[in-house]
Amino acid sequence: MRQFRFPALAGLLALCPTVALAHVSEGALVLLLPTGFYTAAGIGAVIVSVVIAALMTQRGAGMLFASADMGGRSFPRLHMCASFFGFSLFISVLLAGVLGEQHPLKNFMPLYVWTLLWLILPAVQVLIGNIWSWLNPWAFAGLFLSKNGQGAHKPCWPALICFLAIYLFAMVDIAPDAPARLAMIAAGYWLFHMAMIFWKGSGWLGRGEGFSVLFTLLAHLSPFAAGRIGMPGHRVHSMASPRLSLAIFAIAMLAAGSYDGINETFWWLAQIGVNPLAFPGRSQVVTPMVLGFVAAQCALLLSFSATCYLGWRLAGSAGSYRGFFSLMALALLPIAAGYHIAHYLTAFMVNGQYLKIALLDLIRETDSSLQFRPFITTGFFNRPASVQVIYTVQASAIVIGHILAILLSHSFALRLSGTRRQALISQLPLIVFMIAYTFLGLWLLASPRGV
Amino acid sequence: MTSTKKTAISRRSTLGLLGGAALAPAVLPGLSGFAQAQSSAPIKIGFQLHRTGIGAAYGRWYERTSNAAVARINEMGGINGRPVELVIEDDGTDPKRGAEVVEKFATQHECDIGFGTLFSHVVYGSAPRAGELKLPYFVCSEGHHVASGALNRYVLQPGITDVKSQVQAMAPFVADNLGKKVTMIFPDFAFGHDHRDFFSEAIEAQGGEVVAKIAIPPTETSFTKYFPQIPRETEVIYHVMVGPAVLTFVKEMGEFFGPSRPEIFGFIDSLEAVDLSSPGLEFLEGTYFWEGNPRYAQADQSDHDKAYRAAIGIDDNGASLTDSADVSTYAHMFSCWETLNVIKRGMETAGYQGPADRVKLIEAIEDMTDMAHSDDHPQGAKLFNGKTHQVFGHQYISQVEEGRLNVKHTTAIEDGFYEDEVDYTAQSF
Repeated sequence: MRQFRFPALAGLLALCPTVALAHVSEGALVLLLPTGFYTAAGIGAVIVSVVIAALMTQRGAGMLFASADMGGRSFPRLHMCASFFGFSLFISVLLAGVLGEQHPLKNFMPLYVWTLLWLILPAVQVLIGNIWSWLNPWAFAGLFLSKNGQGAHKPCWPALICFLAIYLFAMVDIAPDAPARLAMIAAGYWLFHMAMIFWKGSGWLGRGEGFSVLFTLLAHLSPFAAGRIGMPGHRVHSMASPRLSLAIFAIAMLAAGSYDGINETFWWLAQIGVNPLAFPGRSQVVTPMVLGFVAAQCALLLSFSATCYLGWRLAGSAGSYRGFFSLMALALLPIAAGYHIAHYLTAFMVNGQYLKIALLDLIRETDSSLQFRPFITTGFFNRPASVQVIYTVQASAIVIGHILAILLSHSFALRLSGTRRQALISQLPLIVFMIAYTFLGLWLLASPRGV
Repeated sequence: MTSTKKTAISRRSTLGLLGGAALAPAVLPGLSGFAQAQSSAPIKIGFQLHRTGIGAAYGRWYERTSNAAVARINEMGGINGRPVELVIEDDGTDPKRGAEVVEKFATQHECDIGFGTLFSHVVYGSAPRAGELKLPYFVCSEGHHVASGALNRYVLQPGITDVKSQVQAMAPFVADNLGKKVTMIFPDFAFGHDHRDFFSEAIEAQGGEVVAKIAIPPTETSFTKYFPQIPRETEVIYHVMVGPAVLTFVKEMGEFFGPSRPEIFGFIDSLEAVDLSSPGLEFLEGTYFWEGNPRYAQADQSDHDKAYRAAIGIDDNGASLTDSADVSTYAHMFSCWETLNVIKRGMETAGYQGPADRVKLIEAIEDMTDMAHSDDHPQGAKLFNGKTHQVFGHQYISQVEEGRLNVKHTTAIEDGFYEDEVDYTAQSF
């Protein structure tokens, strides 16, 4: 007897919470695109960036990542307003989650967590800067604490654990976007970190809370990071010696993002014995999904560590391996950001409409003269021209991320090594790694997806 | 002075309230009809919706259709004088979550019934729980699972025919008009196997035969190597390929055959919600499709179909009025509309007042037979089989002509009949 009536529309991104998208057209049209050409062109662009990086001097790298003060001033009162705004917003969405309509795409609780924070904010952090400081629901606590900075320079292992837990929750929980349920979990998470802030000081957020560390790292990529304007990544470039935990956090971000793409492919579903045309539901694949996530984390950590070690040894083991590894890991941040933008772009195009409608409904509540009932559309997945544009933007995000990563890692290598030659030798294994990763990213975009 | 002012305000407020009360029925259509009811509390229909997960593309249209159907029912005065409320819960297109959602309907939301499930694996996961909770559970999945006897007395499918009936009804047209020697190309899993088994049996009954059965692995994305397996004697190709590689399949099949090809027949499931002007689909020109409900408004379009499209906001090409590229799941989503109307009729016949009358509701629907082509049943007339809890109806066979589907044949309801495989009425409640 047939188990599935409609495998035709088994689409993509179904493992991401609140992603209402599952449409055959986009995936089908992508399969008709000359994706091999795109992949070759993307890898070609990355190779060109390798050549440019190889010719770069330390002074040149310094100029490339130079930044200028934007002349911004500190406004304590504005900061206080932002803190209360973040807190008030969070409490409001909690109430909406418990009391509002239990619609995962209309209720503000899942829209806040999965559309605003999970889909949109990472890209905004990268492009614009630290908007999280306005949304952070814990920041106001700092206003009442005298020992604000305590603990800020300690390792961020607790934040890494939180980040991995949030990612796993998003990927394998049976109903991560059920509003009331999510509100309870979010409230628990918020209370836990609130307690930790009062116990350890507001520096806890910078080392213990997953979202804060994630968004701060992404904001470091912004051209407007830290009140200065410059090449994207200039703030990362200026980091002297990152903590090991922060380096591993960066690797975990890339591993999570990569697995998020891999687990939807026909290839992966075949590996875990799932028919890609008849995905049986999240509850039926919890164990393989968790194991796959853990395996992806271990695989990237080990392979990247080994790649760095090889480069470090080839270049004569100058300086500490730990220092070399930590800086090179930070250079992965642009790739992680590129993966995020590429992976969630289509989800954003659908869920962004739900968020917009929910916000417009709020206005309508107060102004009954606004008469409209917009419908969600996924028509852009049906048009070859728009699918091609979407695919190009996704592929560009992947390629630009890798180019930036190569420039950053070369620049770090120049800083650590005595000579340009030594720097280049230390980068050889990483160059192979980056090119392979570019291929992986573009292959993921072109692959048929089954969930 | 103070007293006078208070009185004036009070009088004005009172007048305002009275005026508001008088105006309310005009502003809120259908409200006046509810006033006659013994209880004005809404009838709560738990809508188990695929809002997320692999069913989400369908779910979006099922929700839009169901909201339009409920709005119409309420405009007509609701059910038994009471308004109808859809209590929607997302099941994530997951069987385990589906069972939890059914439980929420029965215990937390105090719904009168459950409704709307599409994907068969979610039906399988949820139906046993509905039976345990004695919650009438109306599915819109087309699966043969209801009529096969695999479920229980609380599960009904009165709004859409099942796949066995659909496939079987195609055989006479294929044999009489396209050819008797058929090669089937289908994905190698349960969905494809059902088509293979049901159609093989049906075409033999028409004096035809399946000369080759080409099973394609579900992970396949290139099909050229399979086409040489099509026997030369083939008169008709029957295809039900699905998934993201479907456009590639059609394109490669077109390239393989060139200008001389056999007749081709498929199920629109392959291309539901897909724009027929998509690249690669040019080859489909002149081929035939089963349609549950014709996506394109036909020359002889009924007023019922017109009203149905208008209520949901669908244009004559089966796409959203607000975006012509946003193609609906037109061949299937009428099931929500029609099921809700069957529920209405059943509740009215049973004099349904609340959960205590759930058994009466099921018995009332089991007693139904004819459903006339009407605004309640815009897809066409139907015949309900109370024993198997399954409805039977007309199927449409359309040909692709200049990039649109034109209906060439409408099957008789009887074409989809098969022997009863269960008698749910013999089961106790």
